Amino acid sequence: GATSKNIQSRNWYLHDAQWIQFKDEEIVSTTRREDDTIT
Amino acid sequence: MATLPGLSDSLQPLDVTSDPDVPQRLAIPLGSEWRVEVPQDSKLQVKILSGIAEIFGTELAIDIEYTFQNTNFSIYAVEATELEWKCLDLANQSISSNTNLKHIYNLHFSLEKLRVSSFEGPRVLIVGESSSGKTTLAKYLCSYAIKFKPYEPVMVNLNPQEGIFSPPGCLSATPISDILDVSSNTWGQSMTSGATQLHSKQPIVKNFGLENISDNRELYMRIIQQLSEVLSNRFQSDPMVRRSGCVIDTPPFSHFSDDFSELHEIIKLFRITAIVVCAHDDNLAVKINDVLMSQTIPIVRVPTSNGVVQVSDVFKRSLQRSAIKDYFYGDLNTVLSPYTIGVDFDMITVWQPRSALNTDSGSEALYLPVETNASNLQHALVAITYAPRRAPVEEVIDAPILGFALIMEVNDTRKKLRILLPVPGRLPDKALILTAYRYLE
Ligand SMILES: Nc1ncnc2c1ncn2[C@@H]1O[C@H](COP(=O)(O)OP(=O)(O)OP(=O)(O)O)[C@@H](O)[C@H]1O
Ligand SMILES: [Mg+2]
Repeated sequence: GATSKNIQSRNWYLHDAQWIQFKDEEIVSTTRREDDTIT
Repeated sequence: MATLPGLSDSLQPLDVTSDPDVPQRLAIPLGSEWRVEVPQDSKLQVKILSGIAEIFGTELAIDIEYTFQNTNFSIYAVEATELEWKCLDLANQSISSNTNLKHIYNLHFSLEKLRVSSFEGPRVLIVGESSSGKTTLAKYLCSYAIKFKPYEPVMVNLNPQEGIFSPPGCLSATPISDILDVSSNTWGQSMTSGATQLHSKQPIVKNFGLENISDNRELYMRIIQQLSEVLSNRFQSDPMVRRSGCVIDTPPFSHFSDDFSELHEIIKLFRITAIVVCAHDDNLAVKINDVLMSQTIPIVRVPTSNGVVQVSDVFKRSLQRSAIKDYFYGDLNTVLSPYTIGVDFDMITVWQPRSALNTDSGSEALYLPVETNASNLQHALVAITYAPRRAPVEEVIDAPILGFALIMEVNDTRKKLRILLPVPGRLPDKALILTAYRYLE
């Protein structure tokens, strides 16, 4: 499958107050294709 | 609800003689499942060629190679399925038409009816003895809920022995807003700094930090209370999550107190509307019904699949270890780069929960201070709270969790530590909590 070429790390978890207000539609899931340019 | 022996078990043990580099072909008839046990140091690769195949409710894509390690699962043919697989040494494999899918479908459809007829989705508590299929059922219910409709049921994990979107030792609540990662033993990943191939989730993670709930039941219930409060607030501010409801997974039933106090409390705090008992017979369901006489909460039994694999302590520990590793380093799909830093002893403040290991401390507080030294901290998983470093203990106990760090090396002489952080940068100036978990590379 496609490999992520950018360096990533785990995010800190949200504070309770932030998580309560969070909407999951803010989570964008994209599939990287191997020929994608890295921004 | 009695068990129906039902369909005769057409168990066909399969030939294990194979050249590991040549993919094996396999046909799974409609309504049957292929059960596999992949040992710790093995890798199973599977590619679906045709048909509709699911792992515990999540459909597999055609022509995509899936890799599995250290896991036991089954691939169910919703429609007759042809697949290819490769593995050096598959421990056990069989095809069976004797599944408990009918009961799971029925339960899912009942929950669907409840979702459609209310602004508040069903809040389902799953109980059962060790290896009765609770967590597997939770996967099914979440996966089916999101399959055809944009629901976002919250997966609530009250079993600190399993890491679900988190390291072990945690209790968590995660809206399931997109498909699960079938290859991941933690159901998938929590958010990372960049884009990921598979959908990441945003859990709220509370740290219990001890191996057994019996190590400190008061703390366990305190953390459950914190989690239920946050979830309740999320339900209030998020209509989609509220109308989807939640699925609550629990520790093995024998881990609860004999007086059922935790059960009562969980039912009250999470406002449970249905209880599902995973079991081979009705005994536990009847017992719970007797205990909850005064309440009118429906209790349903889902028979334990005969494909269930008994979870050994060794296997449990290996899953906990890989949950820690995945938190910092990611998995095959998403590689993460954690960050090592050096800190002086006097730059950290560490607490730990009172437990059987330190009851002679004389203190009644839920947390006790931990002296910074190699004996206490080397190789330890620590939780980083949102509480400021010098916060009083009560504030630390109730503080949300920022994340985790791994204490890799402790030098008592030079009074320095090497710490692995998930996020690059300085060690947050926050109070830390020592967990019972240790991780060596
Ligand atoms: N139909 C099946 N075919 C193959 N493996 C299965 C099947 N159902 C469950 N399993 C496996 O059996 C094991 C035990 O199941 P599960 O984790 O759901 O039980 P549990 O009740 O949650 O256990 P615990 O009490 O330890 O939390 C798991 O490894 C799971 O993947
Ligand atoms: Mg479980």
